[in-house]
Amino acid sequence: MKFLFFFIFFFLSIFDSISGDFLNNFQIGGNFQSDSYYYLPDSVIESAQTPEKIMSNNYLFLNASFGNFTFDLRYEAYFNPILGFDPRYSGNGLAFRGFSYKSDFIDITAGNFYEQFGSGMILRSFEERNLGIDNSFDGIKIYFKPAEGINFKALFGKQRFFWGESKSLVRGADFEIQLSTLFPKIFNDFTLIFGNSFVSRYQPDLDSRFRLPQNVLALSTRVSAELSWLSVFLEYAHKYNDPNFQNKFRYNGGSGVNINLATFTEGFSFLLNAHRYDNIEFRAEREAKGLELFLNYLPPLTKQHTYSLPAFYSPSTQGNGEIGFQTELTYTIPANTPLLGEYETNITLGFSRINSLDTTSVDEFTYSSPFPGIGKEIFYQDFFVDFHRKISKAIEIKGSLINSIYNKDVMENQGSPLYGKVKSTTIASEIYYSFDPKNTLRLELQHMWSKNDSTASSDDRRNGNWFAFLIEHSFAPHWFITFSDQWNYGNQNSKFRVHYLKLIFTYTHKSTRLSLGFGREAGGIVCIGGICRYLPISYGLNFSVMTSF
Amino acid sequence: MRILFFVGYIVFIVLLNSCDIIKPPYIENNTIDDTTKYSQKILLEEFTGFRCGNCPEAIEIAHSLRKKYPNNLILLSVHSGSYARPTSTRTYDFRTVIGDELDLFFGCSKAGNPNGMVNRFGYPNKTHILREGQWEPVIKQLLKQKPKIHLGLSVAYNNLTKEIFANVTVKYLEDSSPNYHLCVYLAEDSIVQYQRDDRKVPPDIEDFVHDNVLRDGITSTWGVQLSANNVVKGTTIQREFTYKIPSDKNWRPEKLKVIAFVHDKDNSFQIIQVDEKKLIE
Repeated sequence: MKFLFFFIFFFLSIFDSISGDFLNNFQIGGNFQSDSYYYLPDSVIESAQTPEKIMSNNYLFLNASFGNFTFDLRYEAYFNPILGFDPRYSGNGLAFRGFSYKSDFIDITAGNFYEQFGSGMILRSFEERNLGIDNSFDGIKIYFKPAEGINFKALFGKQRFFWGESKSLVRGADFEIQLSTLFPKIFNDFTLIFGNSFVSRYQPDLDSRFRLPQNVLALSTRVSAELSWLSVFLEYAHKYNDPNFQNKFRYNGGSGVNINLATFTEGFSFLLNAHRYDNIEFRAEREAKGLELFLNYLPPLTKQHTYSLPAFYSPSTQGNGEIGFQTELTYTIPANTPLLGEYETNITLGFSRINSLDTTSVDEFTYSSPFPGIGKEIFYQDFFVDFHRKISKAIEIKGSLINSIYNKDVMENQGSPLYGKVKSTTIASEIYYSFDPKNTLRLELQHMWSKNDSTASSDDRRNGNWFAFLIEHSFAPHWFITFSDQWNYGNQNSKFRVHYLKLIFTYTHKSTRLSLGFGREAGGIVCIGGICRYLPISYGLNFSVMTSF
Repeated sequence: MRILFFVGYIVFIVLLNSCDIIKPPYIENNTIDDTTKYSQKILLEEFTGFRCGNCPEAIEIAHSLRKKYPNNLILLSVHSGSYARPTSTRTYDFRTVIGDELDLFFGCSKAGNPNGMVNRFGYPNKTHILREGQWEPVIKQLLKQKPKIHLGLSVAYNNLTKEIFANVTVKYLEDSSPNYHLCVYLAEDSIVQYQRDDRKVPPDIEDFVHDNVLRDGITSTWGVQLSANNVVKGTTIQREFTYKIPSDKNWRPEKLKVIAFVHDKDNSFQIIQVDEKKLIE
């Protein structure tokens, strides 16, 4: 009996010391998101119908850390994927599980991980839930820090492809040297970073028609310099022959140049971004298309407009070939300037322009593309003025004028003539009015004049003039009520001149947000960061939950 | 620092070996004389209707033949004629313009469903319409033939624009006249709809699974001419097609497949070679 007591005592004391240690070092957190739609028929807008009627996307992310160890887990459940998401996501299971160990010298991840080299021109693996993109890797990633200011990364893996994996292997490495950290005395107040990356994809050649490269290599080199008033980033990438579905099996090499420049002085900031992309889109499989298996990321050259109407015409980056630039000038008129009162005023002017590349076909498989080679075809152009000012303690106003040219054939019809170019001008304004600290009203008004230059009538549900409004009342700290309308009153087809009305109730409590919406969704192309997906026109009820813990 | 140089050296070695640079010719050099590496494929066009009570038995026979000749037999289910006409209670319409045109030309539903054509063999001698029991002997006979052409079919689908891209390479393994036409059709599998089956009591099967259902043509019914002149053995002709799924059709891309075939138009109308590919593998 004594013996037994001794054992119980012994185990309890060990357990206590371990669990005490464990609980002190152990941390767990995560988030949960659920979006569900109940689709109703609506003959006026010919809303999309599904036999399931109710569809739901759900994500639970958990992150646990214990000292130098971390464990990430994401469970996804699509019952079935809501409309606009690829139906191949149907099902549920563990979509992400990664285990890492981190020390000052080495950092190892096994399982799933995300990664980006430089600006992502040859490698970026990311999750963009709103687009239905998750191209995480499953494999091994090693970070290696031989000295402060020297970083080395290497990875091997396969990309996620819905509930399976790509048919290819991806190998990559990145080397970065921060001269300013290595030699702080020389680089006083000046940051200078050099980086080089390489990514290689292996996919067996099983095609009976073409002789295909099984190993495709992409290289990039970059430099970033920063002073207190100026930052410059330059990156050049080259990809060896990669005939694939997206580039119509062209055997040319690809190249990409990214230039970002930003300056800041008192009240002013100016930025200039330019890029030239030639056949630089890189995917994990040569047959990949649509939103499948992006291996790299090509950022767009335009401001992502927050207003819903100009966002209809957001350009997607054309990795097969485009050249363009973007400038933005922001000026803040300081507070207490005569005539302008006690609050500051922000004004931003912007201009961007993207053209095709001037290429000449050499034969069925190759083309020539001189540098810089600005082509004649406009892909996108916009000019905008943003204005933001607080009038008094209770009133705040924002306004925008946006004029754009959007080549709808290139963005939405694989370049074949159908819609032509859309020229549009939008005026948008927003007014915030606080009745008291708990009650705020937001009114948003937008009008868009737009015209397609195609002679063929484009019988689609997104053309001509639009009017939109949104009224939002927030009852702090919990409730929001939003009522909005988008009205395509100038559609070429009188049947499509319809209202897209929507009512949304939102309730927030600490880090939890619940929302219930009812109404019509105008559908069309939705773009985030130059990547676009098609959203069907729908009508119904949607319920979403988001919480983090 | 020494370790850094070591890592750099390894990366350099890997770099040199991680790229294949392909120089012209970009096309595979397949020796065209070797006909043994190309196989003959057969298209069984089965004419049916959802109100045809005897058709499910014929469908079962077609499926069992497909199991028996998995690499050589391709099925296409053409719903046409009076048995395919919707009623006030059964409103789903399987019929297609192409199916009706084929039916009118070859006279299949007039001869009484179910029946089928095996590579349209027997036309114009009026022996082309075959009962389900007659399919296998003709398949066996046709499989003994040496293929006259080889078809390479690749398809892709853009989920964003709902566009289908089909690329067909036709390799002539024998000299040929200019009559060869290339047809590309679209078919859908696993459509759960009503079917009458007279072997069952009651005969109404509400959740019958209809496979290989002809949906539309990416080309016209009779296809596109491959060459205006005589073609010599060894020639390769490539054709590309784009087709947008009409917005009013709720066809499921993951169940769609593309069927491409070459036939001897205005002559024997016989199908020379056929292949199929799923839209999404």
